[in-house]
Amino acid sequence: MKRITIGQFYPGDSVIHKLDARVKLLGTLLFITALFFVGNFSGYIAGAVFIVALVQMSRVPFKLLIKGLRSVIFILLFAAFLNIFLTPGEDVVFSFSFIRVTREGLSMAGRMATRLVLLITGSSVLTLTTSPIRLTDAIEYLLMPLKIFKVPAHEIAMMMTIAMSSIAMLMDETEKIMKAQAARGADFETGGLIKKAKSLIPVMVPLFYSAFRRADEMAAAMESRCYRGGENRTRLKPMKMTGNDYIAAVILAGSVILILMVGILI
Amino acid sequence: MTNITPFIETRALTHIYNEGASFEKTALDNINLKIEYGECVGIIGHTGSGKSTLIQHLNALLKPTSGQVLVDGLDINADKKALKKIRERIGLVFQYPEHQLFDLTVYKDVSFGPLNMGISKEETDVRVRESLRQVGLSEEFYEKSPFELSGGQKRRAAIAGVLAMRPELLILDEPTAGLDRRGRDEILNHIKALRDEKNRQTIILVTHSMEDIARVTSRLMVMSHGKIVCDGVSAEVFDRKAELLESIGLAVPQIAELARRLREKGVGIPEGVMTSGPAAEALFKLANEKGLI
Amino acid sequence: MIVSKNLCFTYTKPEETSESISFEKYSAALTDININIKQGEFIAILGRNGSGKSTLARQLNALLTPTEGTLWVKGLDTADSDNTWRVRQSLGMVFQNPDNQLIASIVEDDVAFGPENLGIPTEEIRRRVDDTLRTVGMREYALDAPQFLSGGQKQRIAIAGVLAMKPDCIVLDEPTAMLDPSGRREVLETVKALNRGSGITIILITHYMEEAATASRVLVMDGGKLVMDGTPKEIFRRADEMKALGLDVPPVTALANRLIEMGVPVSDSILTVEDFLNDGFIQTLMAGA
Repeated sequence: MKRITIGQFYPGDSVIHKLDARVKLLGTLLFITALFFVGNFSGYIAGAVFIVALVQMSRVPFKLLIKGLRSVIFILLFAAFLNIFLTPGEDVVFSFSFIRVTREGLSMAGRMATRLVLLITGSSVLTLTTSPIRLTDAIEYLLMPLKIFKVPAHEIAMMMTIAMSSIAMLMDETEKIMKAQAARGADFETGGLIKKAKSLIPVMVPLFYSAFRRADEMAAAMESRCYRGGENRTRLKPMKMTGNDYIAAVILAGSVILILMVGILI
Repeated sequence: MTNITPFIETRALTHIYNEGASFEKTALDNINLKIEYGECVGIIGHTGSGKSTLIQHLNALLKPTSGQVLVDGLDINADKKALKKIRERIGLVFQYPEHQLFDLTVYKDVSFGPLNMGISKEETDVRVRESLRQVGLSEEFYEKSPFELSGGQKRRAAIAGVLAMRPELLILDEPTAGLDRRGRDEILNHIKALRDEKNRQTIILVTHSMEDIARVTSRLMVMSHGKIVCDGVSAEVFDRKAELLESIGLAVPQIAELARRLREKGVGIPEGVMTSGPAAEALFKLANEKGLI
Repeated sequence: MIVSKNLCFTYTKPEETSESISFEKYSAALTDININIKQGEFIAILGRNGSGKSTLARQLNALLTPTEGTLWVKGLDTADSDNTWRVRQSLGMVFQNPDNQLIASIVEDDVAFGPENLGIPTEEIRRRVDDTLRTVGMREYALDAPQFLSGGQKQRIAIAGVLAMKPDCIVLDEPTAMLDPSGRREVLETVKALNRGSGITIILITHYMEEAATASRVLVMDGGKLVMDGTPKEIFRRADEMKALGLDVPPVTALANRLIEMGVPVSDSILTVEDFLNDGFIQTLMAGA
């Protein structure tokens, strides 16, 4: 039923789950940044090994990650296609009227797709093993220095958490509405681009309405439970770096450096 | 009599969500049912008993993991092209259907179904008017935005949206959920009226409200853990299967329960009494016979 | 505990904000509401949709404030914004849709949300979370994700989340409307136990007359006004008035009222099947049988 895994949390008590959210968040950011410097396939393989190792340790079923990828496959294909056709190059593999496919284009598309896959699975590992509340705390902590510039760190973090925890619900809602409209003879499959876009109106309008209703009710529920922003909030589980967290931080940083070295030097 | 093909039939219908995964769940377990034209069937059961999964199979919104769904003897999943036709014949009104209203006016929203079916503007107009009349929304509502209506009105407009497709079988999933008494009465009365008209509308009413069942349906199926555990005349089910219903956490209508317990104590109330009117008549008659009043 | 004097509320749609979607449910006006609710009462509020029940609930929680008149919760004027947080701490609120009021994606984190907002020390939050989850019978689900629980369980978590703020009163706005019969029973029994065991004042807004029949007092609202106030027996005896207001009485009460009209001398204060079976006249009838 639940097809999307991005932004979803898979409760557990593995080493990865227990890790301080700040370490995980920084680790993920480092990893993603590193991906953009890695240009060769041995680097990507190193990255993939890294992710597989993390998933193994977290005991999150691989299926969830694959499913998460499946839901963004269109974005992946789109990005890949753009690269195939828009990358300038000399070595033409295939051409038909104005379409030219070059070796450079193909290789660029392949790299882009791999990079996206690693990026998505990497961040999925973070969200799958970190409860949104912990994640908020971590984001807030990392944004803290910006408070001097009047950046509402807590509010930004809270908004991100709620947005993430709402994804699953909105997906469910979308499925429900699409089914209901299909029962009224709506057709989402056939027709040209314009017809397809038009056929989404009966889905989008109710979806927006339901999202607003949820926002309204959620805001009331939060207020009634005395939510008033980040001031004077305490925590059930305060963030505390333990020895394990420091060790993990070092290992994570080390792994990312290793990936970078493999990706750039080899 | 023996070889007549039933209108709706399921054969060993089974549906498993997330098959193969560690968290797979058997939502429907070997369901065999037959429904004839003109019947009005209630399906009750808990959330998660498989009711919603079952009805979504009847118009091919879900595909069986195994088994078949037959309409007039034909497997609805055999031919992909026939899918559209099936959805026109089997109208499904989802839970909280008002959450699917989208168009600028009530009139336009209700015409969404017929227009999708490729029906002419003139014929659509006839149907929209008729179905809005059937749910008791007069012409003054035609040009209103569906979002301006009250909760009960919204729901009736949404039901009209399916009625306008003139389905041979109308399936309603929890049509009274969350409404107040007036909203509930209106919807149930309009559903009942569909059965009074010349062509008795075939209906499946899914609910966990026993009172709704008692008021509208003649046949009752009880679902639990993906199986149909009981199928019979509504009044008989309430009278004879009260324990079964209670064991799966579904209470019988209050008056049916009272009548049953009075019968146990030797007070001769006839079976099939489910509402306060007939119960009062029966008790009055008894008291009279005994010379107590 | 709760006192209101000539409480009025008119909803003015804020023109300047882009509130394009109107949530009519909460916008019903209130006219001249006078109530006095004591600690430990179990109140049911009845009324059809749009009668102002939800608006009143939101007033009690200071999510809305009176436009005229005054409302005091534990002696605190809700219109005074200095009191807002103390009002919300002592009067918790449970809403209809279980999916839209659970904020965290782990049960215990959600229960902790309220106390965290109140700035309670960590060890105390832990104690409260454990205690309240035990109270509502959800202790073993502390580390689960709410999205995989049943509606009744979600509502019990919502109740735990409110309890963890140590309120004196809980207002429940149609908490069972979206639940099936067993979910409804779970929630109702939890609420009753809190009322009996901890003396917490309960204000239950509902469409189900069987639920209202178990309250100690029933308030009936119509068109933004408080039109009836009494014990369930007093209220349900007035079946005709209730009907005129678009409300039911429990089916057995309707039966008893009908019998009385027909001249059968059953009691006029029957609310449950048990009441009916124990009625003097029905006993005679059984003895005669």
